[in-house]
Amino acid sequence: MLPRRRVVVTGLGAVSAAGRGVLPFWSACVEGRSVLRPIARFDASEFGSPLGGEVPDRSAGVERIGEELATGFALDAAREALQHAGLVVDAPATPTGLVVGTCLGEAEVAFRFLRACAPEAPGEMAPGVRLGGFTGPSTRLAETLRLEGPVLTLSSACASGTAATGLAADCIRRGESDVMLACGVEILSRFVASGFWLLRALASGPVRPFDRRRDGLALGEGAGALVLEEREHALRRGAGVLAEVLGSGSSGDAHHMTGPSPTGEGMVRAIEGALRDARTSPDAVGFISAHGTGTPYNDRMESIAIKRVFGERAFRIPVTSIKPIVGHTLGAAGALEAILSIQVLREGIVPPTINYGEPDPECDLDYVPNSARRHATSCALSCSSAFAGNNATLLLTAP
Amino acid sequence: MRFIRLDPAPVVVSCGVIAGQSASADLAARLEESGSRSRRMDRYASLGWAAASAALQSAGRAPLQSGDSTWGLILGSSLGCGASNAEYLHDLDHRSAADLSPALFSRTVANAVNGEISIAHGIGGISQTLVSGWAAGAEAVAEAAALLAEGRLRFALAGGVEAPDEPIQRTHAMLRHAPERRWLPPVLAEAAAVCLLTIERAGPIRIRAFWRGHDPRGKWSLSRALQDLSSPSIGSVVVVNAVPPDVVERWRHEARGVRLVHLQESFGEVGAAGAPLALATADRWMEGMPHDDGILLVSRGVEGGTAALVVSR
Repeated sequence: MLPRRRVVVTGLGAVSAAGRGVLPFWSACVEGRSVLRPIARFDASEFGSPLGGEVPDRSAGVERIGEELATGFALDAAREALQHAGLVVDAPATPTGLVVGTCLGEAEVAFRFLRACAPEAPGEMAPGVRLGGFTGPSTRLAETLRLEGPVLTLSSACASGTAATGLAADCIRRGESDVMLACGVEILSRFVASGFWLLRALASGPVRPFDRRRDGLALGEGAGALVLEEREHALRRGAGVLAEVLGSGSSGDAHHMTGPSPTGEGMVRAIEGALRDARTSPDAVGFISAHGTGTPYNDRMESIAIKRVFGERAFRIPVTSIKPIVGHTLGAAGALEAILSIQVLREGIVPPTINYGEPDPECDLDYVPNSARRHATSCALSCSSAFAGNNATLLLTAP
Repeated sequence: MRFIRLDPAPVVVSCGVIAGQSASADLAARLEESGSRSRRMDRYASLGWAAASAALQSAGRAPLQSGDSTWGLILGSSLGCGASNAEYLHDLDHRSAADLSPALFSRTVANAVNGEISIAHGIGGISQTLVSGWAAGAEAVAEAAALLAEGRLRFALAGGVEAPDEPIQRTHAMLRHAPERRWLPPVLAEAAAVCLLTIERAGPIRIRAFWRGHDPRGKWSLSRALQDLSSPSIGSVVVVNAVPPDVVERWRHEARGVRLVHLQESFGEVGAAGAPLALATADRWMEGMPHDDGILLVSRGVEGGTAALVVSR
């Protein structure tokens, strides 16, 4: 068997609609303060004028790279995480790798290229057209931060951030690198908003995960970054260990391209995969960060899956969705929710699922309605689901 | 440079390839045999599905039940569902929102190919889509092999899919002639190659080790790689993707007598499908080599993503 080294988290960074940094993100979550607003970046009236979680003042931050917003978000989050980890920003002393999880990557770069492919496009290439939408953020991060380890980009739709963190941990476990940055990133675009509107997945009002009245999600954007490190490497350099990545899981529903399996089987497999990978039992888990989009099918599926894995204990585990607070940040969601899970382990506070008012008989777990709660636990599970039936999970524990 | 050695070394049981001049005919034949579902896929998903189906058919194996978690699916692509994205974006720019197609939108995620294969064949375990550029196919095969060696999967379909349609090929071709380029990568070709890997069966080829890294300045050292790989000794180096001629020349020099072949000269630039295609045709690259020698497959993207697989009998 391959070596199985232990992987710890030593740095966190976030960019979200709550602002730049982990602190504003965590504060909004704990306070149950939604930062969703009517989408202003493009005319969303044709999509029912939905709420969205746009990063305030996109052009602020440490550095902007032209119009490459996803790269800018990812870079800000990565620098915060490296600084938090006590690693030299822009020149890590240890060869460091990177896994970026994203749906569209540097979407505007991709769109420019795709528009140039249109039948009516001029025969001459417009300036700024190039390939590399998916790899835009990872390539620029690797170049700017001088990363020399594996630099991978993964696209599992809305499960990308969770899957990227799991893959980065695996790279360390196997010895591919001692330090890895895991990053999830996405920007809010008309392209994505139109698609979710077409699928009737956008909320008509407040996003209400697990509530009987739930009717959809609000889109968001941002980036989450985690510095993962081989445990002995972190201890040798005296780094503060924030959490340990115990295991990760992934599955395919084998059911439908856009709708989750109604029996929750795919998510069950992803959770059980993480437990098996962590060599731990369901009894260890004391907090669940749910995908919790606020769509009727997802929340029902997820509640069923949690009950199938945890049995009677499922009703005593706090389950939270932060999607009504910062929106569904797609490729960034899993990374931001891993950060949230680590904060729950560190602070002993579970942020609430806000806008919760009317229980749904099919969603009957403890969703920590509307107010944060003190809750000490040493093991957290973070769950993500995605188009094409992808599910991804992470199991994190206090150091 | 740290190659990750795989013990046990996963076996390549079978491969399905849809590539070259017969690709369209092969794909059409497979679609004809299949149900209506496969006919709704876009070119990207149907190429991947057809290659995966061929690999399973050739092996005579498939998951025993739908959603089998012991079967995984790890694929790589540099372009992903680019053609569907272009079509959807074109519609978004030119039609009212109400006239857009939700079915087309559902094909605009890169992991759509995983979803279609998973649904068609009941694969319920670990599912990943790597989109790191041309090296993504080699990265995917490496990832699948590692997951098998770790005991996290019993069977894995792994490979690469590229589906550049004519507009993407044309636009890419125009980009090739941008004045700042000092080297022109070749025109992209479509291809899919998916291999069935396992540690539970015998097979003609094993994946012994892998390396994944980032090499934007083309400094990756073949001599260091060969030094690190004392066993198996490397009988051939297969360069999978187009790389600048000066880099190929340097590698040829560093190979010090080890045969170096350039796959791209045979198959065209098939991006992330290149390394799985080389794996599927490994016998060809092993011809004339001592039985115990291995081959080193090197895949490199224009952005610097680099991955290498060590394969032997």
